[in-house]
Amino acid sequence: MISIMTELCALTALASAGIATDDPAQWLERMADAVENLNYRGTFVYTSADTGAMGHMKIEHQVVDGKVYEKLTEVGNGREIVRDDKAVRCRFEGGDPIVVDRYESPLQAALPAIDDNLHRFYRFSPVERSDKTVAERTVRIIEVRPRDNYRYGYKLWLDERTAMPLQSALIDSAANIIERVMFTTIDIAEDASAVAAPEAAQAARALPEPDMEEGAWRASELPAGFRLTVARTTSDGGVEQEHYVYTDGLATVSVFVERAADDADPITAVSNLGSANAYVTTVDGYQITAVGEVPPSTVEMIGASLRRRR
Amino acid sequence: MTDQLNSQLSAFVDEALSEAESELLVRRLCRDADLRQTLARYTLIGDVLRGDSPVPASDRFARGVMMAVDGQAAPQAPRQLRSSHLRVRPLAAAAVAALALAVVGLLTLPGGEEPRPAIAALDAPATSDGAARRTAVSYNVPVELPADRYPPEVRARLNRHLVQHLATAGSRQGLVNYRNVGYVTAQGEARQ
Repeated sequence: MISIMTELCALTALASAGIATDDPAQWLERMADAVENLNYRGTFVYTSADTGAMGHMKIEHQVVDGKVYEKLTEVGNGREIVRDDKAVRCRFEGGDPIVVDRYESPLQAALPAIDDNLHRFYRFSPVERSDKTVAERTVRIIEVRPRDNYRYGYKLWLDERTAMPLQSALIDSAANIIERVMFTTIDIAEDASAVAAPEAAQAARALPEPDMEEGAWRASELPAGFRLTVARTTSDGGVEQEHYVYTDGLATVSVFVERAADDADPITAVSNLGSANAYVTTVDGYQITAVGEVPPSTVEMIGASLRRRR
Repeated sequence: MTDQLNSQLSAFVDEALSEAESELLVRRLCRDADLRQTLARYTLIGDVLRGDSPVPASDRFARGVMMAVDGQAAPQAPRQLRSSHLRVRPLAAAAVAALALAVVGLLTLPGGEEPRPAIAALDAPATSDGAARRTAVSYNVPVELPADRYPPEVRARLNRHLVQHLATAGSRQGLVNYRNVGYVTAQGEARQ
């Protein structure tokens, strides 16, 4: 009897939360809403297969009167990232603090957009209920597999009640795990109203069109499915730079162009930055940096093909 | 901490480090308290991530994390500080091979597929003016450069661009996606 009651309670909770579906698109939409709109704090661990690097971090996310305050702190060193509605501030040992003004990017409202085009490049598996728990919470598993070598996929363990991502594995096209992240403890202030209904969330998603006149550079070669969605000129600490964002709807690559210092070392290289990769080069006295959580071949193709158009 | 030391610690936790390297690492651990603390953290993290079933480990891990935050030594995990870690281990070649296979197995999802050929479709409008002049290595064969080998100003620029990228491109997992910010600097400073 107790088990029947437990099952009934679980089903009721699922129904009231409105997530009794195995549609991965709806779960991913809810996940995006959950990470932004729920109040939570917890600790997660991560490990990179490439470098063997491991770490654990504390995260705190609060939404007060519609304004977000977040803090990420690495356990064991002084690395700290704070984000609010105005800026992102980063501090870490051995480096100058970084402050980046919050930019209301149209992409933030657009991701993740799961449409027919995205299905050409990723395979979405049906959502399955796991018989295991993460951070002592019941989870559903979603797997998004890339169909080529120019993007990564994900295996996600989402909290059954709130769709919060409690564990994730970044995977390449050969199903190798690039990086794993897992919450070990998490406290979620559950408020179903904080997470938008799937239909409403889905309707709001559409990739933005950039101002095609903006910026003097363009990538001449892109992996299939990627297109320009943001082109803007900014001033960062008095240094003018152009910033372009290319995306396939799920993976994103930023390309930065700025005038190189006269004595700058003309490096051309691909480097691993944890789960992200970066390509740097110098063209016509400008430093080009392409960065994103994509395979090295992707940042290289996009960054290396950047050309002045005027 | 350097990539090499990271890899060695990770391999040590996974019992995949060679006998000679293990001996050197143990000697270094004996005189380096920070490294011992890092090893303790790695062992706990490895336990959690390897298990794929964090429930039994979560209480212990939570206590370990809280104690680490408080500046105390992390609690001993069952795999941590085993006597085999503190002496030179007679690792047979077969055992090493088996361990390597186990590590590879842990890093591969079940039901893995064969790698696919790259799709090199170029559906972007080409705007190349053909006049761009490269000042360094041909872009077809860029060097693979560990980020900690960059000059400090390049490392600083990479960190800043990574933050700008995340702030603009959106983040599926929220602030968790910022975990790589500072990665370059931390790697480089440790090496210097």
